[in-house]
Amino acid sequence: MAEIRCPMCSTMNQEAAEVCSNCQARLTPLVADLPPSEQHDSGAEGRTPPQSDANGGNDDWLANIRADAAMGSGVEDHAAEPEEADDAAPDWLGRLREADSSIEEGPPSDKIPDWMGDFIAAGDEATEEEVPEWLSRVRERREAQTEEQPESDEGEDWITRLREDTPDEQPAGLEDLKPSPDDDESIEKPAPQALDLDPPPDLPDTQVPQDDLAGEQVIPSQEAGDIAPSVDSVVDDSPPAMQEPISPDEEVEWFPAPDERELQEAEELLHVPALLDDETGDASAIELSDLNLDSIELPDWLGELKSETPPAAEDEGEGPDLAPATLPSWLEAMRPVDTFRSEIEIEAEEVLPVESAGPLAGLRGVLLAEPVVAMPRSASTAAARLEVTERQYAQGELLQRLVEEEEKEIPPAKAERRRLPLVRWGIAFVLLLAVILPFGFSQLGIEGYAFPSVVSRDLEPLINLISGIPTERPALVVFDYTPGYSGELDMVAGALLEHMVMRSLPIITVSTRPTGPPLAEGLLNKIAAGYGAVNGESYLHLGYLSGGPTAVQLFSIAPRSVVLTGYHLPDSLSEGSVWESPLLQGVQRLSDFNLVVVITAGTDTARTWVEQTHPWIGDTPLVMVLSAGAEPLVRPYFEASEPQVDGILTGLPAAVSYRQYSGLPLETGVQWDAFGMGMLAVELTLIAGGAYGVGLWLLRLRKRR
Amino acid sequence: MPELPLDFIEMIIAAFVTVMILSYAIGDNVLFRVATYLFIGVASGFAGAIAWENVVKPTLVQPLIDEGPASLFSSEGALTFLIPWMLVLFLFFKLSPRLSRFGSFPIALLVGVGAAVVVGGSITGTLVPQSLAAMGMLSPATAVSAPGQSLSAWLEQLIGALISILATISVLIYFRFSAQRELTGRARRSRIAEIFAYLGKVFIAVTFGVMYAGALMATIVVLAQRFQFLHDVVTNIVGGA
Repeated sequence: MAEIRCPMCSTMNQEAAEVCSNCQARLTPLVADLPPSEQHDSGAEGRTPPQSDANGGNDDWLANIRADAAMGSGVEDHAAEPEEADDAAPDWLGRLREADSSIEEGPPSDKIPDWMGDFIAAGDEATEEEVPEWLSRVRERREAQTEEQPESDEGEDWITRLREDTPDEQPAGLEDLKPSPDDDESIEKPAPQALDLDPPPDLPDTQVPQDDLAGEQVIPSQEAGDIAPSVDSVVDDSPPAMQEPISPDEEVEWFPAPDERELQEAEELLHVPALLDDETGDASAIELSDLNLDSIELPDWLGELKSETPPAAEDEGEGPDLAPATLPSWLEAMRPVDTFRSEIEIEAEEVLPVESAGPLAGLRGVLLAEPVVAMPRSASTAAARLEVTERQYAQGELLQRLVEEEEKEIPPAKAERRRLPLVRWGIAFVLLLAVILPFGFSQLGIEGYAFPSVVSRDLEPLINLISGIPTERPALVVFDYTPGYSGELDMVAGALLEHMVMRSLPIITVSTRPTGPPLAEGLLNKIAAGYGAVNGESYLHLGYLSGGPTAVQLFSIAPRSVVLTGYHLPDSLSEGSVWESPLLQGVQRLSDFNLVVVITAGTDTARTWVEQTHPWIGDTPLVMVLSAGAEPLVRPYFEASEPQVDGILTGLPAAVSYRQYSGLPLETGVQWDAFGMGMLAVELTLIAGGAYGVGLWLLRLRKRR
Repeated sequence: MPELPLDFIEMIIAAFVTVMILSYAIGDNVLFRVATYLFIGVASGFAGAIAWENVVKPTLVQPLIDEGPASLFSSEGALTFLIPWMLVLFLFFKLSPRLSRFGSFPIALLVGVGAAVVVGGSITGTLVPQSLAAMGMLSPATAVSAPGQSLSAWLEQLIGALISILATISVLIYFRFSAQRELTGRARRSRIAEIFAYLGKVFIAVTFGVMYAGALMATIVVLAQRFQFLHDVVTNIVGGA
């Protein structure tokens, strides 16, 4: 069974299929009113035409066509088929013609009705009265060309030459197709009805061949496609007709004069110049030089004849002088500015491309969708403009700056000239001088700084606390600072420890830092020497407590399980455990100590002891001896409504005050004066630095103004 | 040749090291570096000795010496000696890149337990008590003068409470970084939040200023103490001579 290849997707389909089973593309090209030769060609391209049986043998496809022709009530085949062709045509063709003629009836083909004449005359008047602007320009241009061209040029017109060259012979096939007067009744069709015109009552009796009108009727593409097979079958029987010349008299059948309605439609069409003379409406008066033949569907055989004409005119460069189509003003105003050209240039047929795919494959001059759809062009409307928000614009600018900065070449860094640290030396000199000067106060007879006269509000409760601590149970002192802070904390903690030693309060030391036990030993030995306190009797060193916060928590819960040995224990305890000391009798947990004192220079250490001992410390007071820099972050634990720290001793001034108001000896020496002078130098340096910064700022401000 | 006392030698060495450290005021120099390395080395060695003497020896070594290896497998020794020894041996695997994964277990145990202890302590020891203390400032009793309380004390208490509340709220708002994004892409807090955040920044700056002043004061105390030490050394040397 023969199959048809889909021109769109190359899928093989059944021969009788009209659309592709895969892509639904139409397999049969839509051909309207093609001459037999062209129909034959198109049919040959699309599919293999069936071999018609001269004896009237029919195939199935032909039967289907007949049935469609008989059933199609709305289909009007206006191609007037002469009845005489029945004699030469096969039986099936005759039956097909009968079926077509039985569907529609029309006026006699040998004359035009009266109303048609009036209609044409009225159309002429209307044409004269209402001539669009573009048509006026066309006429003016045509008249100008007519004046320029000699009369002999008209003889160069291709149609004239075609008429002269064409012998007075009629194609064989056309003889059969020529309508006969006997067939008028069967093929007469009311042309106005076919054109959707209601015939007026006073129709002029103009002699216009009805078959001419019928031949020019526009058939909808769908209808043309439906009847295409029947036309193919007709053409198959008369292939030689394509090559036969045509007589000038019979040319009218193929080039009939259009009616007025068609003239109006032609005027409304933008790309098709008028086929008739605007004034007379006579088809014979058409100046074919103004016709754009590419816009008119000509019979294929006529096109071939055109190509066979001597190329003299083309060689002279005076081809068909076709006026370019122009657009009416209102359409010109609606036309996009940049998208299309101002005039539609109708190119010669040879230049036009041949469609290579799709249902229109093989046709020349098909409007291409690619230039409109796929070709890049500038945006014609504002809607296509990119809308950028402020945020996107800012981000875009930022990205642009980043890219530009990346592209910048970084200049090689110049080797900075080594400058002497004069400022650094100056500050160091001031500080050293301020600290050293007090050592000569006594020789110079200068009185040093006075001791604090007002006790701090935080100091009094601490002094009272230490003074009221019972001495039955020991106090735990945690030495959690490094040797670097011993210069400060030894002095601050020394006052508190001396007060405790003075009250014979047993002291147990421990440290979470490896360097803590020797610091504790050195400080306590120094203090205890003045009060006769002995290691192992008045104080005891538990040593190093390893493990950080975990060890602190474990020590709070069960100190005996954490600390196994002491540090620098007395000889009596050197063989045994530190917990065998009489000072630690009864101490099982942290709350068994009378007091817990944490000496530290770091806020983290202080917070660790506060946090980890909070659940187990009970009523035992917790006192913090801090470096001056750690006080601000520990004070909230002290000043809370329910304080977790019961006392704070911070800085050298507080230590001096503590000594002063607790009855301890004030053995600060020159250190107090050195501290005072040093602080004064620091304050002056800060003020000088601030003034220098403000001065620079003012200078820059003045330069800006 | 007269024999020098040990304390005097220690004092001379300490004075020299102090001067070497103070030489940093001129700039980075060899003396300062030598003194720094000396301090780090002595501190590390001393820490190692303390760790051996106070931790390793009494908890891991001495029981084995006293009771023998059999104590590792006793019911009590397995928990107090064997498991610590195994953890220590696992830590030694960290020395080998191929077996270092076996050393991750004791480290994970240390980190996990330490983190749990720190977080739990922070919640129960700092977060909850400090939050309660901050809320206690909002108590109506703060705004009412207590019986027998002087006017100045009541005003001081009231102003202190107001400043504390303002500082707490403003600092918390300063650390609130949620903001609404504008069309320009910039995140911006509301006007009120901006004002409170700026106020919080001021309080934070004041706090850091106080901490810096305290550190500076501690430094001056240490410097004065060092010069006092040098003065004593010189006095001893001159007096001795």
